[in-house]
Amino acid sequence: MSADLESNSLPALARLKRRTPPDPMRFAVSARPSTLHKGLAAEDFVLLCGCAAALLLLLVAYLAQSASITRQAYTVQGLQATLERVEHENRLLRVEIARLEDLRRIERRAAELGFGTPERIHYLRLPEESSHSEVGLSATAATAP
Amino acid sequence: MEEFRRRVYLVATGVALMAGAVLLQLVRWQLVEGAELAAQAERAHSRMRVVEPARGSIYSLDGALLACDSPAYAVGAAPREISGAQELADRLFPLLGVRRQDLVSWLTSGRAWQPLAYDVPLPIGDEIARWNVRGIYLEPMLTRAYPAAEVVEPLLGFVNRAREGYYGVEGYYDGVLRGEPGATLGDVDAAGNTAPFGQIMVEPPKPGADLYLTIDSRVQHVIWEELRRGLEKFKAESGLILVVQPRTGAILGAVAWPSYDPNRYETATPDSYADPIISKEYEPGSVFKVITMAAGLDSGVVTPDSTYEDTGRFSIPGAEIYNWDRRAHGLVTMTDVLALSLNTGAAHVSTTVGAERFYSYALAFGFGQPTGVDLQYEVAGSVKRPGDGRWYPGDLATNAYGQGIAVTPLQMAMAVAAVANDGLLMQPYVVRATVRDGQVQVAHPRAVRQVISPETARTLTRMLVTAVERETTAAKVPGFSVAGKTGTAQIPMPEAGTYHPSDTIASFVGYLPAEDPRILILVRIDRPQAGMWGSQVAAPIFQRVASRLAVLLGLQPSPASLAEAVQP
Repeated sequence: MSADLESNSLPALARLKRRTPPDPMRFAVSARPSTLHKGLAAEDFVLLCGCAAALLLLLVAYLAQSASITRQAYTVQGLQATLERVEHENRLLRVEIARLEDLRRIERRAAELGFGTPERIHYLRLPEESSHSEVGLSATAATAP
Repeated sequence: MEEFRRRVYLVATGVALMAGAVLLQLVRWQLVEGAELAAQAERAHSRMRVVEPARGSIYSLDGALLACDSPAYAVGAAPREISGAQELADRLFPLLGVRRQDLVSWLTSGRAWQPLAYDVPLPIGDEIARWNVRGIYLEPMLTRAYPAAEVVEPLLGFVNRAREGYYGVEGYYDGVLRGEPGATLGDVDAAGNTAPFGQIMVEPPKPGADLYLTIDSRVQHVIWEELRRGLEKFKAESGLILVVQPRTGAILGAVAWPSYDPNRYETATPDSYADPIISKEYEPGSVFKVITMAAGLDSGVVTPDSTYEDTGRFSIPGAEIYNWDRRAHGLVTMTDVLALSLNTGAAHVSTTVGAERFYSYALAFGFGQPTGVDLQYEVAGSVKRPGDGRWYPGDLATNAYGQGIAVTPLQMAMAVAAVANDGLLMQPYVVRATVRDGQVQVAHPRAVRQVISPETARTLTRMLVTAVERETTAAKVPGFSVAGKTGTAQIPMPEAGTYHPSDTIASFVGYLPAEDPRILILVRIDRPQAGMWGSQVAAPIFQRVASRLAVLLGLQPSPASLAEAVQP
């Protein structure tokens, strides 16, 4: 580039110079940041840090809340599953109880334990005053199942 | 330059057209199809789940659980995802109760989806889930459980896989028991699982109402046991026993054989689903003489002591009638007609009463029309009447002793129960109370009509007591006076236009204590091979049932009968 400038004619140099005119404010502007940095450092830095910390705090609080909600939601879901499970077990137990209370099963079990059906039915005639007298039905008639 | 400008215009026009197309598409998406597309987007990340309501439970009068929902699994497979089908079938078939070769064929079918088993118990389903096998899926389901199994059938009916009730109580009260489904709507994750923190709107399902029946589980057990014993003893193929309260019309117990296990209803023949107590007609035979005599007494045509000369044969145009024993009994009273079960005597009464009055009494007793019982698929029976094109004069005589007339066991029982209830016909019912959300709705007995006068009813009861005391001793219950009547009906063979030469339907209907009837029992045994008469077959079964129920229900013995029965 410099070789070109040297070899070129003056009008070409003049055009190049017109393209990049000297900026009188150039050095002034480049000097401003350092001046500002030194001026704002004490107050603005604290403020900036404070804002950042507050933002971080808010973020952490938000995340903590979200995590808590999620955790509780999972807990609720788990409890609902447990409730459903317990209800299912309750239903199964009701059916099981009904099956155990079935009279056919109880009769079978009673027979296994040596119990039998009564052969005679006894009616107790309750007198008006004192002793109860027991009367039995005739043999064939009294045969109970 | 001109060419350049033209090209610029061309490109600009193209860009404008494309922009216009994009704009139009945006308008279409936003304004025309906006709602639908929004719904699609909503569906993509949220899911609506239908929540099946719990079906109401059914209890007996004494609180025994007869039917309820029970949790189970439906097990299915995605055969395309499965590897090692043979080994998997080896593990699954003992647990699912499915044949191994069926499982292998299903698992290797290459289908996208194949159901394997329903109603799989929770422990078994849980074990399969623990295997964590790819391609095997378990879906929770509710199945209907009937702890008393076949003892309550065909009275209760059943619930199919689509959760629809059929036959009996389940069918009749399906709308009450079923409840209303609910729904959950929630965000789902990529796997389709409901996100726990998604917005979930819940429409809770409304469970069905619980039913408390008039059926007493102890009565049901007794009559079931006695029916099975009777069928075995008399070598019969089928039969039924029905117990009702004459004063209220409440059905305390009803059993029939053949029965089926409602827990595995799909293995039963469809014919066994129908309840013979309400859905199958039969010719009642001599039991119907109770109705004939009621008509004669109430219309004033005869009294218990009215006599007629029994020659052993009764002739009417179109019919020649004989007694069951083919004998002539000479001068007999109306009480004798019932005690000896004389066909000629019944025909004498019906023809004396006259067709119009006789059939109006038959209809008033509830024959030829459904009783209105709260059970599904009740039939009306069939009563031919003058002028309906099917009736012949001879029918008046044969109908008098229960031939040529079709009734259901429940109709027959309720008609005799009207006699027991001072002539007041009650509507039978099986549901005592409906409980929904803690609110109890109690069903009250409903009187249908006064069929005969209370005096006639009491007179007829005395005649029926005498009939049992004199001629049907097998039905006598120690300590109680029993009013009852035997029946031995021939079985029609419609294809041959005649009756079966030897097979009969043996029946007995009776109530006790006669002076204050608390229960009425109808016993019917079909085609018994060891005995054929109602007095031989059905009366002894009635006696055993009545004896047991008298103790079970704490009936007060009849004073006069107790005096005879007790030993000093």
